[in-house]
Amino acid sequence: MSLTAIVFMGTVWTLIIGMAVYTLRQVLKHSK
Amino acid sequence: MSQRENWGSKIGLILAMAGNAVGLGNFWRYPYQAAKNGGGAFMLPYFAALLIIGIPIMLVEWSQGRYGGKYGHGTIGPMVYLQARERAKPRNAIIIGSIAGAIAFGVTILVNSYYNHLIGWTLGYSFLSLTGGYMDTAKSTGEVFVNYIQSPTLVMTFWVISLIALSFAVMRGIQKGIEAWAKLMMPILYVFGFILVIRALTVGSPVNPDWSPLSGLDFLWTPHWENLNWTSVLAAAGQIFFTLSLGMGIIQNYASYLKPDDDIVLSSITMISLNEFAEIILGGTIVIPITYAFLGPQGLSSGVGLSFISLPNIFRTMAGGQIFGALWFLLLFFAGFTSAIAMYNYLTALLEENLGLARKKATWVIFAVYIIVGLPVGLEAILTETDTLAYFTEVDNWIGNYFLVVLGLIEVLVAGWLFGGRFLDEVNRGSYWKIPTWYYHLFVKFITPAAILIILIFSTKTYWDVGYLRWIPSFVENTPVLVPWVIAARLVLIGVLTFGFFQSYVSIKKNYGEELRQNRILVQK
Repeated sequence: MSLTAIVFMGTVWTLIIGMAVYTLRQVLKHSK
Repeated sequence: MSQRENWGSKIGLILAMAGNAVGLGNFWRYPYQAAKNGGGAFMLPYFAALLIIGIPIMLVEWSQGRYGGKYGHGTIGPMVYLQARERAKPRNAIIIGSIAGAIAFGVTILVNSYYNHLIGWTLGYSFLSLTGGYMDTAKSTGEVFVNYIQSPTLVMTFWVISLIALSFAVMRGIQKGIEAWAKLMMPILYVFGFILVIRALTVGSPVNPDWSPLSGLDFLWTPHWENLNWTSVLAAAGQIFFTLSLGMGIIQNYASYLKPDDDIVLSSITMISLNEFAEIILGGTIVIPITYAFLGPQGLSSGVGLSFISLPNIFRTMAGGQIFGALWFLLLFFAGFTSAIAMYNYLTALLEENLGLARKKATWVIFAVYIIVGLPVGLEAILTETDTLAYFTEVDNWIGNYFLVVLGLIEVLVAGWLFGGRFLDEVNRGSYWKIPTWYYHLFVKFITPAAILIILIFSTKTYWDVGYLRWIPSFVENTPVLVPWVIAARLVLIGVLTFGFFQSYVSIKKNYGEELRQNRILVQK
């Protein structure tokens, strides 16, 4: 894989996984 | 009006909404759209469309649904009417509401007319995977697919089984039906997705040393600015509508079961995150790397056949192919099922709301409707002995390019310009995160509607140029046997829209007759 592809994919994956985990944790926190 | 049901838990709501959005679009449509439109060149407009169109319309749809639910509505006509009447007079608002209601009616009836078949195919292919039905290499997987869609027994059996399962899910209501099924199916879907991602990334280079799963990811994630063109921009915007289930009325329908002060902003962003996780991380890392590793860059050009023709071909040669094939098609089945429930529930709510039918009875009426509208889709390949599926293609073209986009445009214009400042109050009420005023002014009022308008203009130009808008569209001009199927599709589209318009008009008039007579707002909650 080229460096550009690794950076692009890495950034997007981090953002999506980060958002999914963070928002789900917020939802669970507010569900209590 | 009878008491409407509510969601049982926040996590149940999120999973049901995610199930609504995560559909065949994430795993079947997204990989071939990304591959067809240049891989990396597709990803840039995709994320732009997500930010500019996807997120703002999603917020509009959630708030429109919750607002409508407060008045006892689960369908789009009255929901749009309620917001539009704030600045347009009730007699103008009823026209806007009826147009919006007609489109949502058309989408929920007609998309499911073929979507239910696709779900049936995925269930059928799960069965074929487990029983080794496409493992015989004497027959190409293309032939296996054509034989499948031309086999009355296979097509009808798995279609009807899927429809019956859908009916039972909807019949049980929101908490015991839709929410319970989503809580079961969505975690399984993500687990299957993870297993398949791991398998896809570990297949090595079985055919050619240059073809590896990582080369597939490289193709998808290297931004090719030189390939960026209007076609990829339009495809990306279209994908955003499909993947998030926007412009269908089904997000509003689910949101109508929220309590008036339930959170909207955090819940909708969570749902989008889960959808993008399924699409980009799971959808993008299963089909493209695995296809690239076995079939190389050429294999990615097989378009819609990627899932039903190319992948079975790979499962034949792969170690544990039958099991991974079954996991793949069951994943598609779960994804499609939890989205089809939403369309089914929209129409069930419509009957409950307008005819006062009990849920059970309404569910069986819609079952019969889906059988009727689904028959042309199932019978076309069997009767014409072709595999073009012209009726399905024509209905899908009009819905994908116009219905969803026009309804999205109406919704955002109504929320931004007719509901006015109340939109912000409504969306922020009870929300854990707040939408800032600048976001509403910049996106909901200007950028999002302008972007949708540009997409509509350019997609019309594109379709005009390639001949899709002719009386006899270009894709059937050399196959006269299919022309009547295209004409039938257009007549059905017109008929369903007309019926939907009058149905929505009558529904609004029945509920707000007095305020329409006086042409001023009388009912306010």
